[in-house]
Amino acid sequence: MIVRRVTQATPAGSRRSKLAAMDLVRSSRWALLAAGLVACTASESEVRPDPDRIFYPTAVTVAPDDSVAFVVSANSDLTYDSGTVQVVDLAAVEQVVAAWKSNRTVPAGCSADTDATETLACPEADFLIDDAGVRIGNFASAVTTQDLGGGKLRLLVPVRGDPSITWMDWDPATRKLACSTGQGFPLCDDDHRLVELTGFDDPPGLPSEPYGVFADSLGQFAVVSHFANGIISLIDSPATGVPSLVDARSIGLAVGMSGIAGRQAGPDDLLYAQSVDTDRVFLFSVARPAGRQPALVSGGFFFQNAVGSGTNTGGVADDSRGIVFRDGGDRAFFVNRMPPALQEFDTSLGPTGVPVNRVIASTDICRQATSVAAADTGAGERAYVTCYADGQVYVVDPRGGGAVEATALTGRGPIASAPVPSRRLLLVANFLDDSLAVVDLDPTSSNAYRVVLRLGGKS
Amino acid sequence: MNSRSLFALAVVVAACGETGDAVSVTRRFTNPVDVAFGCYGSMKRTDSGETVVTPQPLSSCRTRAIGAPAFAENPIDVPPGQEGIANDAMFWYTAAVQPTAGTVTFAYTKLLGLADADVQTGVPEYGERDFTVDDADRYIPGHNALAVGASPIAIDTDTAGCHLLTANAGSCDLSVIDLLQVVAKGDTPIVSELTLTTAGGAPLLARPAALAATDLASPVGAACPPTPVGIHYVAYPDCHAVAAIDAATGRAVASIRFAADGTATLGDGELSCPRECGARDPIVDGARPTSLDIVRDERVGTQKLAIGVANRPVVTVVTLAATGLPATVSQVDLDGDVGVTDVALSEQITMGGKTGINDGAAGTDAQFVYAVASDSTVRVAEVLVANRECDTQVDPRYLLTENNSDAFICMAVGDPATPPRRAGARSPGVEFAGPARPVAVAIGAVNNKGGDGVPARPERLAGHFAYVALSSGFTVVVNIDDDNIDDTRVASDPLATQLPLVLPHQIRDSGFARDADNLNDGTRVCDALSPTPPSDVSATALVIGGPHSDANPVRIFSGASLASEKSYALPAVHQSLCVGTDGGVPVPDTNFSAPLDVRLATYPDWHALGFEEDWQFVWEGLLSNDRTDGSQALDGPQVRTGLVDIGGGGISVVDPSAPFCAAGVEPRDLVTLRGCDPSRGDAQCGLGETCFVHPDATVATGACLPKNRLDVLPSLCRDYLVSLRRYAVVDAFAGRLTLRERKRELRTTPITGCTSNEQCTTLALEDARLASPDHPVDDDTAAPDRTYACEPDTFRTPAQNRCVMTCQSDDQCDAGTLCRAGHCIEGIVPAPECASGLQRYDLRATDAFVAIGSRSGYLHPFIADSAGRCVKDPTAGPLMIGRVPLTAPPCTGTGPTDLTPNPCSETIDQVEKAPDYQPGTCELTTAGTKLVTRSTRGIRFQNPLLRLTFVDPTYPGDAMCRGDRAGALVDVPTVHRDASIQFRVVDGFLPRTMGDAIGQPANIVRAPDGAIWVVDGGDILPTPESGTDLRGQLVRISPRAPDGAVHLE
Repeated sequence: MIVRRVTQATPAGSRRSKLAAMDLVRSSRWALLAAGLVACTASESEVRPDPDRIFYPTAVTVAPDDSVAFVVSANSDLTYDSGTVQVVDLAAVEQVVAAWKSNRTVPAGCSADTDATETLACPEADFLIDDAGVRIGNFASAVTTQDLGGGKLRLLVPVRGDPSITWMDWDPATRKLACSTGQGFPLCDDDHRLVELTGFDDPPGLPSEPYGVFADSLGQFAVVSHFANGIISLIDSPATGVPSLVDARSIGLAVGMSGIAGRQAGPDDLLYAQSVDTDRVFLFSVARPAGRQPALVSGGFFFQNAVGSGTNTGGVADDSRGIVFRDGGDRAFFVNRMPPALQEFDTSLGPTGVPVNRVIASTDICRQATSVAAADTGAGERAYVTCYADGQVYVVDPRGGGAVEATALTGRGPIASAPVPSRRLLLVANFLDDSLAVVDLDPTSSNAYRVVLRLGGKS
Repeated sequence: MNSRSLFALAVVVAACGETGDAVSVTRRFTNPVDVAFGCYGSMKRTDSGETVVTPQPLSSCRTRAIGAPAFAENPIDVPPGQEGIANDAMFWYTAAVQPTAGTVTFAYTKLLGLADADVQTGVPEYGERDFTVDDADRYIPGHNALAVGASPIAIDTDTAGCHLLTANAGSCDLSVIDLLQVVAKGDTPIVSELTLTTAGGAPLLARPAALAATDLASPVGAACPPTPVGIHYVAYPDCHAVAAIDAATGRAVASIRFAADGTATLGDGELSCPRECGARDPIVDGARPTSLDIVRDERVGTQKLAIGVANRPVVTVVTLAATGLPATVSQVDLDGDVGVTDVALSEQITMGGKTGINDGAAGTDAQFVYAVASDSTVRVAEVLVANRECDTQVDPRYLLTENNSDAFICMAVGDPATPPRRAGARSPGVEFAGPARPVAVAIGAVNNKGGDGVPARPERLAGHFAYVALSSGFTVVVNIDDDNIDDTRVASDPLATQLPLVLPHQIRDSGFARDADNLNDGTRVCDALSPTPPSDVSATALVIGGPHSDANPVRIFSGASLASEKSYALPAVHQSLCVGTDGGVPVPDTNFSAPLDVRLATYPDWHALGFEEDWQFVWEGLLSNDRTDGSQALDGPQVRTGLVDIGGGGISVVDPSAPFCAAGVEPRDLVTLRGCDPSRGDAQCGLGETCFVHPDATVATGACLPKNRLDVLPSLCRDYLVSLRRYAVVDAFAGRLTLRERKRELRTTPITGCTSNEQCTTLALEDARLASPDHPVDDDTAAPDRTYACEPDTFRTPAQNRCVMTCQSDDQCDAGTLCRAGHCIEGIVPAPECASGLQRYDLRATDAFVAIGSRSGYLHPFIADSAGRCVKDPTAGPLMIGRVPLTAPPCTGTGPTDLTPNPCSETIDQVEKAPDYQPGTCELTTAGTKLVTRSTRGIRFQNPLLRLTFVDPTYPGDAMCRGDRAGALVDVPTVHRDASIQFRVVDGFLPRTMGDAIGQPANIVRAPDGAIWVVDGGDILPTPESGTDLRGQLVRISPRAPDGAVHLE
């Protein structure tokens, strides 16, 4: 019997520990100690995540130039000592997909899926850029990119296990993520984990359960929603400087803040935040008082009360799980679980200068939706909703009031997706089977809205 | 995975909220989106004479259900040749198509015939137990639907009634369902694929969006053909065409093609469409037809197809030949940049009449298309005669004198002869209150007039109506031609014939006894606050009688500014005289017992009223009515947060959310920097800040200061911290308000301006006396020790002098005000450090009552110009007003359409009960009061909902006793900040709905028997209160009994 000594990436310390997760680790240790008196101790290298694997992916995002994708693995079963952010070479993905679609070319190590003949299954290692990834804390929940210019990106990852907002920079020249001075598969260091607010004599810690994240490249800030309460955190993130956590405050009356996004990038970006607990959508913005740190400014809220409740009373929609803006902020898709619906809002500025915020389309979708993304890959815009329980992505055509155009079986526990518009692909992170599904978004393809490539997966 | 991993994973999953369903149910529907119908049962074959059990044309069941011709005096109730076959040998079938499952679910019920329906009682013909949801495969566990194809999105019945066809978006073909085999459940295949081709035989592989079948009036008695028959129209949005498909062959035989601008032309069946199934072609942008409706009008012998284009502002009507093929095409352009997502076509309607359906009688015929538009309205086009869009939002104030109902059939959009629209109307289309958007529309006829002498009631539908399914789950009725009520306003019966109740294309009202008056056996009861429910109306009905306030308007004010005994000195809602059994009584114009003409004038457009709304008119009130508990979002928060920009001797409030034009801020308005409430600790401050109250402060307002600068800022910011921090707006942009220091003024400054310092001194004493409860003869209130100068105040009222408080030191100013340059000011421009963080602030009007409704919010005409400056919208109507000042230009008339100037001033008789003193004393007589009528000045205010006159904007003062009005003051106001007049309007407009709310309606379909089927495509999730767990349902509503519904779940 081999017992691994689990050396977690999450450091000790009251402020830097997520009690639940750490307790879990501790109790597991005690249980294992009690059960197995004769035990070996695994070395640090043995519990280090496999750099060639995706495991419990919870988030995925794509570089603005569609060159690479960043996949966040949460290490949700604590097999390893840390989670990871890994980099997928999208050119390689596109090349393999194209060859597979055109003449059924099966690269070495890959195989045709026996259940879905249109799907090629490959080890993810073939597509992960060597030595590009980094290690982070456990239970990361989301990822966003901030464009630093010149192809350089900053990634911000809410990590529930620390809790922290872990950040790292991507340099297209070196094709590496950087968040420490370490080599190999480095763990992001303390300087790259935002765990407390700056500028205070007795700095408050990052509120618990960071969940969603949105970065505004022009405004040079990022905001984080916190699932356990009604708090939003603000990160000042100058393109040429180091990010810092500068504000954290409740911007509404709700708890369980979830989806978060900005309407139109820039210093005056109007931000929208949802909740799993209410049918309100909260509006806020970022102010930069002279001589003071940036701060969050609440801007009221509006109700999502245009769609039936499902309880025969009519008029409310809550348990919201994601927002994505389109058309320069003039429209937005909101995904809700209660009732299961994708709503399209007119968020254009009305004659008074404030957004209209009125529903223009709504579609019944799967239950337990987890995220929404959108892209136009040549046949008009579509919204893509990941359906955790059903293992599907719902493809919604929002035109004409909204309708489900297709459903794609992607794998178990799809939890997040990211379109790759120029390559006409959709990446779907399947939490429960450790895979990244690649969905064909080419409207002229006979495989449109089918998974054509699956990277990884439980064997 | 080891156990530890599993346990950890379970924890993680639970933490993420990814819980599985705990409820095990058998759901019989899976997110349906469309329904079609079948008629099945015994039938005498005309060729052999034998009686067989078979599917048959829908007209067979329809004739039995509602007669033929429908609504005729003596319709036949059995199809010719089918006599002797009882109704209980006949069945209705309903088929629901379910795209995500690729299935169709059938339900059936025994047919109830014409004589079975009790139109008098309105009892629904069918109960839920009458329907059986069919299990398509009894050998498989669970409740099974019929698999038909990939992503079927529409279904309809062929003209023979023997086959149903689905349009499959996932396979770009049709599926043919053999209804006989559905019933038989034998070994014969039930479903077959119908591959579609162009006229030339090339595959037609475009993705369909809608399907509608023609009705070629197949005779009842023929055997079922082996294949479907008739012409089916299929909408292909990405082909920019609608194809006429021969259902027997699957071949396109004709088409309606749409140019890029939406122009339609008739074409042949040789369509060139992109392939969208299997190998696919690129899609070219263009007009996208996505909705169809076909109506066969038996009375006039026509059959027409209506087409909606999702991304073009046009509705298309195709007249079909007897073969079902397109004969002619016409189009109506819609106003604005909208698309059409659903259409419904009416039969040819003889408009007008109030004695039940009168189609074909003398009168003007019309035919309408109702189109769900992308601006969340339902557009109406008349397509028989005028061929134009109809303006459904004409302000009824302008239509009161129109006695020709034909003028209302379709008022032309944009025609100079068409009166103005309702204030705030988004478009010519029918608008629905609240945020819900219309999803689908159906039109039907019903003739539940009731017997002779049976009064019209909201649920008693007779005529032609549109039924609109809203995203909120409600289905709303729209009157097209209500044949149970007058068609114009009747002067002798103005309450029952309010125009919003009788005009075509208006949402149907659900109020009962709208003509109720305060008469009891012919005698007027003046203290009646609400109508007595008629005996046939439940006392618990939500809306009874016309709109009225549920009590007398109340005046709320501060006792520190005005003694409660002197409330009469404040402005009030005008009162009229009611003469009844209880003698002459002054009654506020808002009340139920106000004279009829007054009440009608007070509520000029019932449609604009919510069924209940609280109104406040608050002097210098907040420009927002959002509740602080977050239960209401109308105008933004009452207390907002922004930055203060200080520099150049000025101060600005900057809010990155740019709310100021939307809030309706005007120059000279009042901004108060609210700081923080020290009783709440530091809760209202940012991190690192504390709520600091300066020890010198005389007002209990704190300010959020950085904790690490408390050694410096209290002294540096002392004057700012101890002041009220009120400022005057001098310039308003969407995101910035430029402010100036605001001088303290005497509230009793005459509204026409002061004339001298001495006058100000005299008025200051009057101001102080207002707070005294004493009669003037006994009032020994001392003259205040404040001094005033009569001088201009450019930041308040530039054109007149005001009584401004003067000083030489702070102690000569009121609490919270400071002495600067000889004037007391309410807030200073501080050093930037004093207000460097986020600041809480509120916005108030200056020198006006703010009219704000709990549902309407604060109405105003301001928008942002291209530079972001807040300016009046030149297109806003005169009713978009939310302020009532104490002075206004003279009114120019008294008619309902005399809307400008607004507000305006008038001289008006006020009826009231005045104190009745014994001569020469301030002792009241035994009666205490006396009824008086006096002429006074009033400010008339009109908004889309209300027309009110506020009397006595100023008070002359009393000479000897309270309320004797014998003082000599001229134009002196008594109002103070936050003094208000409040009332609640009840029994306003409540849209008539059908059935009850559902999850997410996907469609609404008119059945052959006149019933309306709402297709609920949404999930209903179980809650702690309800175990209901559905993935959609069908709801059958009989327009004859719209309160009830049959739910098939």
